[in-house]
Amino acid sequence: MVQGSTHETPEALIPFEAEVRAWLAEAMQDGLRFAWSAVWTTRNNDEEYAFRQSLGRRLGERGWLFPTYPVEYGGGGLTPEHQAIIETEMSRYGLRHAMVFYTLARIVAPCILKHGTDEQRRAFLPGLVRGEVVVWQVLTEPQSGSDVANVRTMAIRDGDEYVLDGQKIMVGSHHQPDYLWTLVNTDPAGKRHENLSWMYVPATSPGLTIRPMSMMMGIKNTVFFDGCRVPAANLVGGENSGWKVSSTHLELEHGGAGSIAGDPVVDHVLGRCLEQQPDGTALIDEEPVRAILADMLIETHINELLAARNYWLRLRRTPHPYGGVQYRYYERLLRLRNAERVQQLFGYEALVPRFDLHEDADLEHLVRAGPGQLHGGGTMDTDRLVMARRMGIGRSTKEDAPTTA
Amino acid sequence: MIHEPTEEERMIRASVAQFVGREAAPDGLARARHEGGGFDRGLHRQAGELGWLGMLVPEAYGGSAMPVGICAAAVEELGRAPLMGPLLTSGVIATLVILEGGSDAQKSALLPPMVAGERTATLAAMDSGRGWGPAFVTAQARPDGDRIRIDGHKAFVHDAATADTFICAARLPADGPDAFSLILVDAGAIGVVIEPLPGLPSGLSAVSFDGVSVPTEAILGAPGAGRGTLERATHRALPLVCAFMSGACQAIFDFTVEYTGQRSAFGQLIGRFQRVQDHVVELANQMDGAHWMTLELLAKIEAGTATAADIHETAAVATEAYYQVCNYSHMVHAGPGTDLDHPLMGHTIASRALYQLMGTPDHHKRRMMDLRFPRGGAPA
Repeated sequence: MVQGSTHETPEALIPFEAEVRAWLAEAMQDGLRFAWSAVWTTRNNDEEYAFRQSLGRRLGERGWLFPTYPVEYGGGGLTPEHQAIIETEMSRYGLRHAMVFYTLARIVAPCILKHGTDEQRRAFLPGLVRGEVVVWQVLTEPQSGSDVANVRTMAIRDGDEYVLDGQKIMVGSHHQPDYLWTLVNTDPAGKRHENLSWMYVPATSPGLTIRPMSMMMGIKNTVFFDGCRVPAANLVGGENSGWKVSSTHLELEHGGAGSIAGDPVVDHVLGRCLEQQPDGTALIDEEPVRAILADMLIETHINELLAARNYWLRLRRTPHPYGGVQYRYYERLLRLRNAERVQQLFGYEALVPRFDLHEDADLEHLVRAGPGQLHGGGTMDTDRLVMARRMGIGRSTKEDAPTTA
Repeated sequence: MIHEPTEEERMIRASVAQFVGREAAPDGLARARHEGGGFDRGLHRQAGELGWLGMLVPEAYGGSAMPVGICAAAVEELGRAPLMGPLLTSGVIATLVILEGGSDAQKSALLPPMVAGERTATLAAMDSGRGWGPAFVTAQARPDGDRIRIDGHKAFVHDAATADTFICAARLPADGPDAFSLILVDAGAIGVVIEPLPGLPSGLSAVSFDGVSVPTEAILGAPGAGRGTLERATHRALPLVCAFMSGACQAIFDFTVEYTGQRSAFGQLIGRFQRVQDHVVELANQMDGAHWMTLELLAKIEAGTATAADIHETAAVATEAYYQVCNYSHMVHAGPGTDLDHPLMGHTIASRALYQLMGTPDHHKRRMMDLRFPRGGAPA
């Protein structure tokens, strides 16, 4: 039974909650003046970003970026309950714990923890877990988006190294990475799904070029590998065994991680509708506004429940069979509907950004992101395909959801 | 947080499931309901013997007053069948109205035989079928010596043909413009005319009260208290109706997924077609919305934090979900799903009837908004 997106602190953890609250109050002193950027940002505010990155490091030092991870890898050695407290307290400042700054460690670290060797865990995890490095996920290629296994970036073994050649597109952000977590083809003659490997590639590797692309929601990048040499020790999960690592990666990317954070844009919309206007009325007194808001609030509530369900099931390592991708599918279509709703409610005002707001709460960002957020990490159609498989429709065996960490 | 079901919940679930499977095979249920009004007095008495009709009722009136989570688990299993009829309209709704509004004497007289499954009651609340609320109560009640005379026409009453007692909403002269009274009327009283209605949902009747004379003690609780009683009873009944619909959606999901692996068309199983998969995906999204909203509501009720707005919000979601889940299942089942003997038919009939019972999804959304955001005032 889900208690919803709000989380009640267990008695024994009230001192911890006070500790987190006090620590954040101090750590956030210099951050209160910022209006935060969204994860997929259209804004480029170096000062704000520098603050977020330093905050990420400070959280990482205490083990609070990965509260449930073992202390030996830089984690907090704490319980899911502790993690929920940290996330809830951060959300009071409009910050998302999963992405304090732009890094995909929340996906990459679980993959390395689950599929890496002991040596790889010791070598790669601390930097990710402590928030010291920025990692991008680098999957999409010009000819393969949803069809993520159709990889043409080749990685051929040469002594103690692999030599990478190929191109990835629409990855990362405008903040430079320290590592790329990328899917490569290690067997040109191999069968589909049996020719893939994951590599943790230092961004400083020779033969690697990153070139920005201007996209609907901000900067993404093209990455070229031209005879790029990467140590063989950086191949994670075994040569040609990459597809099983992908299942962990994709489950986390595709909604399986869940969330206990609310959607700030909905709070903003509601606040605007309740505001008294110069003539003494409020938008919320108008019948059509009430009907639009009712649907927006109800659907947002359902979305929060699906997100919270996935969050707790993940931390308990009992993933819902099809719930991961279901939440992502539901949320994407909800955001697209909400983007239209803010135009219905506020007209032209929804088309002009406000830079004094958290970008996640900004109407223009919602309108802009509406169609753009439908496909990241696979389209709605692949979402439905995965859901069907996990329900066991149309095949003799039901596909299980992988556990993630 | 996610809690596991308790042992008690599991036990009541298993017991109801076994009963529903044995006594009311879903295949025959739709036909029985469609053709015969669907009420089996023997079945109802058995439900009484098993104690389900007393789950909501305190021990003083013959019941066992179970926690809401246990009641919801039992009702969810009834929804899987689906077994509606007096188990829901008398065992849940009328029972709650009497509990919320009745005097001690009324509760002592009415509830024990209802708990035993020997008698049923049903709510004859709205005169018009167009909505749910005080505006739709137009029947008149007038003092007539030391008695009361009722005149009115309740256009749509559930399970009226088999009911022993009606709880009739009517306006006494002393009731204010927004108030009405609830009055207990014996089904055999002179002037009560029951006219069973044809149509998809069986068990519906029009009930006329033509100069029906009842003693003043027949007023449930205090005169003019009907609106408050009905509101409180509705807010206790709706979460259970949501559990019923949530259970129903899960049963439909199960047999729909199974069917996609059995039926072939164009040389392959229909589950291979992505168009067919999409129907099941949307079915599951509706089902899970209803499921998790209902679970959250029940948890809030147990914690004492549920608001009336929360109840209407969940009712809007679950009612719409049940309706749509049936639609998506029909898209998968096509012709065979419209055979009255098919398990889907019982659900489709129930989903259309429940769409109206105690308010449509739109009604619940309006109530949710009005409770949370009163017009022209600060948010509640």
